[in-house]
Amino acid sequence: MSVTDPPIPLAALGRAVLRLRQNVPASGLGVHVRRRQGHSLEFREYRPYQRGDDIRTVDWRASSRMPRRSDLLVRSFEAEQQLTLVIVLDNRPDMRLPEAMPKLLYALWAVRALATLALGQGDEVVLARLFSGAAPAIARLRDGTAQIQARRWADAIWQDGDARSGYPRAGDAGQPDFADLARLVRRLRPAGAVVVISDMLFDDQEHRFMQFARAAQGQRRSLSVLQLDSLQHETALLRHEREFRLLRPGHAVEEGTQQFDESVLAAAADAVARHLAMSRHAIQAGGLDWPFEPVTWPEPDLSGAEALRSHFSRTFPGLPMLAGLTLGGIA
Amino acid sequence: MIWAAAIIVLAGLAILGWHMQRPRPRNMAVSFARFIPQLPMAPSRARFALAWPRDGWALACLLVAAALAIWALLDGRREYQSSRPRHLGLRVVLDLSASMGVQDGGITRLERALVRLEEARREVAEAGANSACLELVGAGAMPGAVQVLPLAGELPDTLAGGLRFEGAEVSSLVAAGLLPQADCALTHILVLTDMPPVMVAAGDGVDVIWDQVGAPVGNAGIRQLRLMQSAFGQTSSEIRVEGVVSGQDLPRELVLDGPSGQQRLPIYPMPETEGRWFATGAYAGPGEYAARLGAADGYDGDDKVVTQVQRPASVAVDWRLSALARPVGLAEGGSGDLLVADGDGLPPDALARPALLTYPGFTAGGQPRHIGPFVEDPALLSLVSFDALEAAMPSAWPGPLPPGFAPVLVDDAGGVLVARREQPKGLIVPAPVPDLPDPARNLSLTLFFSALADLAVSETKEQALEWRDSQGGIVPDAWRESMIGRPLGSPADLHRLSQVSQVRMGAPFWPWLVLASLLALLAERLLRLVRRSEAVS
Repeated sequence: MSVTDPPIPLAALGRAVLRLRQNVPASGLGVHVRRRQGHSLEFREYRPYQRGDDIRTVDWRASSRMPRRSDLLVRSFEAEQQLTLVIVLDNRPDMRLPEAMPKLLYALWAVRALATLALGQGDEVVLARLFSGAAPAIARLRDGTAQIQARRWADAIWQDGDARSGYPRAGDAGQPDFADLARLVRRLRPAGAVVVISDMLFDDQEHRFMQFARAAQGQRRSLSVLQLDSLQHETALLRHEREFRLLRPGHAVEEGTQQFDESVLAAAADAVARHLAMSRHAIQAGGLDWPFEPVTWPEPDLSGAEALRSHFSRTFPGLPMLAGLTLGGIA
Repeated sequence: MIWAAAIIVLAGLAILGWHMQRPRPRNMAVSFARFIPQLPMAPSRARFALAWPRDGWALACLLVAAALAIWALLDGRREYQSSRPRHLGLRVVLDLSASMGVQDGGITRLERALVRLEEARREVAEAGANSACLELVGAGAMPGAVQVLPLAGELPDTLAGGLRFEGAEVSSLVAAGLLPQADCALTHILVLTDMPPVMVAAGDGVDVIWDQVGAPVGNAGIRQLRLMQSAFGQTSSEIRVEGVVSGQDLPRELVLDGPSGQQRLPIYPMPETEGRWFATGAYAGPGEYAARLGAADGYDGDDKVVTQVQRPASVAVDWRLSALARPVGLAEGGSGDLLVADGDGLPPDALARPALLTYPGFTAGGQPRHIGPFVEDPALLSLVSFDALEAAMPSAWPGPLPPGFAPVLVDDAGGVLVARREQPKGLIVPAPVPDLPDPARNLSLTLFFSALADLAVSETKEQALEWRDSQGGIVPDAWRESMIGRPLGSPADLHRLSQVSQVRMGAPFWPWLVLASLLALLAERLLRLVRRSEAVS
C-alpha cells in the first residue's frame, strides 16, 4: 500500500465516470469523441460539415472551391485506435502545501486514477513532471507493468523533498527550474490529450510553460488543466494563527512576527486571480479545457490525511474533465 | 519528606512555567506566499505570561503524570477488597472418635459431619477462586494422616465407616488442624466434631471454623473405679465407682460383678461436683471386677468397665509406743519401716528413717492458751478444731527440734506443738492419751491418727480400667466421650469460606502508579501528535 494509491476503488471511479458522461454532454473537445468521429492523421475523405463537428477540421481551402460559401468541407480521417494521454504534474514544493492537506498528494492520486482509467481503455499513458526533480522527467507506461511504473513514479515524486525545501535558501528564485518541456513536446502524439495538474500559481516569466501549453494544443490535441485551489484554505489557516512568521520562497525567514491582515490577504487574492487570468489567456490556443471552477480545498477544520482522502473521493469522480476525456466507464 | 516536598514543588513549577510560556510564532508557509504583500508586524510580547494553557488536555496529562509519579515515590499502597478469593485452601478436621457414632435424629453424628463436609466442599468449589484445594484429617485419640479430597464428585466410602472406637480430646483435633501443610496452602481449617469449640491459633491468615454437630443426648458413664482400703483395719475395704452424667437424670443403680458375685449398688450424686456421681460396693477379695450401668443411654461405650483388683498391700510399722497398741490393719515392721515412738531418748540413728514421734503434750490439767502461727497442713490440721485445741492446749515439744524438723503449729509463747520433716518423712505430734477427758482425748487421738495416716497410708490409686461397649469391644479412653449431653452451639457459617478472602488486603501499588504515570505521558505525546496530524507523512 503506497501513499500515492488513490483512495477510491477503480470500479467506483468507473461507475462515477459513466454517470458523469450520461449527465454531461461531450463538449467536442474530448479526444475519444473525436477519435470516434474519425480524427486522426490518416486522411480518408472530405465530407460536408455537420453541426457538432470540430471547426478546426474544416478544410478552408477546399471549402473555398465549393459553389456556395456556406458549404463547408471537413476532412475525415481513419479512426485512430489508440489515444496517448500525457499527464503533466506540477511538482514544485509549493504543491506540498497546505501541510495538512498537500495538493501534491491529491495531484498524485489524480495522476494514478487517470492513468488507471486510460490504461483500462487501452490508451497509452505518459507521465511527466513540470519542474526539475529526482523522479524521471518522463515515464511512458507500458503494458503489464504500467500500474507498477505509475506507482513508482508517483512515489518518487512524493519522496522527493518536502513542503519547505524551497524556502531556507536565500537568494533562490524559490521555484525550481522547469523540466525539459521541449523534449516532452517532441513526445506528444497527434490527436492526443495532455492533462496538467497544478495550482497554476507558478511563475512563468520566460514563457516556458506557455510555449509548452500552446504546443500541446496543436495537431488536434487537447490540453486539460486540473487546477487545485487552496487559497481560501490557507488564508483561513493564517487567520486562525493570527500571528506568525510567513515563509516566502527564496527569502530568508524574516525577523519579527507578522500578524494577519484581511486587507493584505484580499489584495493577495486579487493578485492570484489576476495571475490565473493572465495564465489562462496566455495558454489559450483552441484546445484548452480549463474549467473556471477549480478543485477547491475545504475549510481548515476539515484537515488531515483522512480529510484529504475524503475530499478526493468526493470531488475527483465528478470532474467534467473525465467526461471530456471519455475515460472510464470500463467497470 | 523534605525531598519529596521539594520534588513536588519543583515539578509543579516546571509544569506551570512550561504551560505559561507564550508559544513562539509558527513559521507559516502558504502556496501563494509570493502574491502576499508585506504584512503588518505584530507587537512584541513577553515570553512568559499568565495565560490559559493552549492545550489544556496536554497540561492535564502532565499534571496527572507528575502526581502519579510523586505518589509512586511515596510508596503508595492501596487497599482493595477482592470480589472473589484468589486461593482457597481448606483442611477439614473430622472427629472420628466413638461419640461421633451416637445416633440423634435418626442419623449418627458422623453422618451429620459428612453432610457439613459436603456443604463446605460445595462452598469452596463455587467460590470462584483462582485456585482451591481440599484435604481431610481424621482424628481420634491421635490425629491421622492428611488425605487430599477432590473438590467435586463422591466422597471416599471409607469416611462413613471410618469411625474409631476410642475416646478423643480436643487437643487431638487441634493437633490435626496444625499438622504441617503439604501441597495445599491453607486458608481455612474446618473442625467437624461434637465437642464444644475452643480457641485455636492456626497462624497468620488461616481462619479456623469450628462446627459442632450433634444434638444433646443424655448419657451417664463410668469414669473411674478404685479400691478404698480399710482404715488401719478398723473398717472393711470398699470398691468405689465414680462416673459422670450429662443431659439426663442420675442413673438409679450400678451393677458390680466381683469374685464373690453381683452387687447392685445405689448411685449417689457428688454434692461438691455437678454432673458427677459415685457408688460404693464391698471389696470381695482380689480378682476381676466389672461395673456396668443398667439403663441404656446415648453412648454405650462408657457404660461398662472391667478391671483387675489386687489385694491391698498391708503397711508395716515399727511400733514402739507404749501408751497405744498397734492397730490391727498395720503389720509389724522392722528397722526399715516407719518408726512410731516417743521422741524422748531416741538414738540419733533412729531418726534417719521415716518416723512419727510423740511427746507428752496433752495432760489432765491443761490450761487454756492461744495458738500461735501455724502452717496450713490439711493432712494434719483439717480435722482439728482450733477452738477446741485452745481450750485444751497441749504443752510444747520439750527442747530443740531434731534436725530436719520444722514447726507446723506453735503456741502463742513460741513453743512447737506440731513439726514436720520432709526427707525422710517425719512428724512430731503430741502423744495420744485415750484415758483423758474430752476434748483432750479426742484432740490427741485426732492429731496422732492424722499424722499416722499421712505417713503410713498411701493414696488410693485409680484402677486401670478397660471400657467395653455393648458388643464387648474395648473402647480406649471411653470416658472422654461421656459428655454428649452438653449443649449444642449454633452451626458454623460455612459462607466464611468464601467471604474471608474479601478482607481488605494491602499490596504495593507504586509499580502501577509508575505505569499510569508513563501512560499519562504517552497520552500527552499522542495528544500533541494529534494536534500535528495535519502533517501528512
